[in-house]
Amino acid sequence: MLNYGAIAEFLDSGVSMVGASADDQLVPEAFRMWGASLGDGGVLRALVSSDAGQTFERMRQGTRLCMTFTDVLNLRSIQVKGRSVGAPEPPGPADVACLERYDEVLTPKSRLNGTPPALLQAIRPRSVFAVSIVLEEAYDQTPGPTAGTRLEEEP
Amino acid sequence: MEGCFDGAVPPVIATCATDGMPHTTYLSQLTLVDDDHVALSNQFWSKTIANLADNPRASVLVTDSQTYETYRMALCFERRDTDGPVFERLRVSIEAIAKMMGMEEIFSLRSADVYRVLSCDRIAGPTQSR
Repeated sequence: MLNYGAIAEFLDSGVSMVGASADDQLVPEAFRMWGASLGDGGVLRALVSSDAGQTFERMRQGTRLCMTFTDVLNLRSIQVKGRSVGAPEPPGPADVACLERYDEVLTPKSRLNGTPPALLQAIRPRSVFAVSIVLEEAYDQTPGPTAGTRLEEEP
Repeated sequence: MEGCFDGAVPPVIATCATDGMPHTTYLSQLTLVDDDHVALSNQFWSKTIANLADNPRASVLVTDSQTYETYRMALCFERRDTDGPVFERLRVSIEAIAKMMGMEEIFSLRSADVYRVLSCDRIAGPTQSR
């Protein structure tokens, strides 16, 4: 079983969030996310930028998604892959709280690496939809020789 | 879109394996090759390259460092340059980025991967009202 605790902690530490889906013709769509949380049973709920229209249209139970999370200061990075538990959902109160928490953690951390506040505001999605995936795989995506190795599972 | 090609804001690339599972990672830089092509820096990709070998389609998010506009590009991989003018242009730029970050050995350029641009859509930017 994946070390959900370690992944959850990493998601809350101020990381950039990007992901992708693909259609039946294997054409991918990259998207940005703005907040994510990992719950019990390895279900990761993420807030996807609403400009990911193709992802929104094709998502249903079992749709495959990947998501990459990267520490904006040390570039430590994790990629998770899994299948959606259902169709995309409008954000609820818990999702809004997640988004606000993400703002609170990411904003000061981004300033430390020189990201202009106006740039962060410009890439922040105007609106989001929520997706939930069951994690199946997790990889170290940190730039360097270990990139691509599977994350160690809990003993 | 000049600021999309200066390496200041790392772009994102997504590819897809033949089993339908997508894969996404950052890259250091995009560079313009001609009116129809861009080149992406390949420094430490393995899964991305494996996916492209079977499926040449890619999706890239790139942000203009000057205007802060973000674009989503649909690309089709065409070739991999390990020398030549496109490769050299990217290599020099990547070296500068790597030196700034103290990651010279990790960030060395393996190839300049050239793609045909199928579409380019502006998806975000500072002019949007909230």
